[in-house]
Amino acid sequence: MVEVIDMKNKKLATFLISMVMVTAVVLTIGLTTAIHPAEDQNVSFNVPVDVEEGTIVYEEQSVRFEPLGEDAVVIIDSNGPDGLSTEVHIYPGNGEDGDIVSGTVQVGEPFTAEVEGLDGRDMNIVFEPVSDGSLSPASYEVGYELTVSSSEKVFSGAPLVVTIVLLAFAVFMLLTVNMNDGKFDERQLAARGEAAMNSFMVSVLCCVAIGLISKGVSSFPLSVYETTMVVAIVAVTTFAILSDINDAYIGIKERRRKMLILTWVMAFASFTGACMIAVGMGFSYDMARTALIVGVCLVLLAIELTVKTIIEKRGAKDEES
Amino acid sequence: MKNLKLKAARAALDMSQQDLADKVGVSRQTINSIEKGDYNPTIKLCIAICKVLGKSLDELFWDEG
Repeated sequence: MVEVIDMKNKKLATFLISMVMVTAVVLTIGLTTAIHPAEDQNVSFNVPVDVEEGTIVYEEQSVRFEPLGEDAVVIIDSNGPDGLSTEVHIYPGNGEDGDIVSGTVQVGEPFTAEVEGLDGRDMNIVFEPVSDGSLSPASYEVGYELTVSSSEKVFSGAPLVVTIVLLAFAVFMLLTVNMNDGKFDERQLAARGEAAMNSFMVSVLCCVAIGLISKGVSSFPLSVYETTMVVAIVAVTTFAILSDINDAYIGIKERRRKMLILTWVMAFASFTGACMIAVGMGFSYDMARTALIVGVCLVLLAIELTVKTIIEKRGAKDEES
Repeated sequence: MKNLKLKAARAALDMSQQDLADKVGVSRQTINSIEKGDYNPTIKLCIAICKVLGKSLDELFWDEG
């Protein structure tokens, strides 16, 4: 009785420690991504400018941005004839405090302004084309492209929903793993432990390899989603194959044939899903590639299960002799 | 080292590896591994096997060599 209580306490402690670790990581990522900087705003427009003798005629242009938080960074790119620059004045609110940043934008040279002290007010940018006198009288056009980055933080609920779903999944998985009394015997548990250690090392080595390679390449082709999913899938496949080689993948009362069919069906479904995503979005889409890798891993597992089943059938005939 | 005494005791009762595995609550492969000497069972499993086969620990698991 004492032993049983002790085992239950150990399993409970294992579950709680694992849950605390998962919750800490998932909540940190979920909360930090739920409150994130507002997306950059892009605006582009053209201004017609008539150059006449000694002067230029244009319609003054101003662009207004909604409240952007405390600070903002404005990048202005202009294109047009050489000899036509633009005076830029950036005002907070209605301009009652005067301009807080002004400068000259030269054609083809991006102008960057760090605007501080907006204090949550609107931001207005006024454009005044200026000729250096080298242009002959004619009608011209100046194009502007603005990119405004804001310090304002916005909240989005999607990461929080994903966080809650992930935590619920973590509870289910950890309970399944820790509360499977009698599903595996002592030899199988030992073999699964070894397989888990090996697959853990495989995942660590994969993470280190991908991390180092991504540092050495300017544009790493895999997204964060793809990288994490691939590492997780490879680790799980390694664990499953190593466990099954040591007859520890399928529980005492589970049926091998059922598991084999299920694995082949999952592999087929994964391949079909990958093809459908690829038809819709193309194989450059990371979800299509990930689904394909899941399919490949499941096929590898299914092949291993099939080969082991055949070997097992032959062995079962001989072992009783 | 193969455990032929276990195999003999099981065969004497006309039990298959699966029958013995079911009675002691382990997989057939585990009984196979014990008989082949690939796996050293815990004392708990040894006692369970002895009880099912009606033998003592010495009779099944004591290595006289």
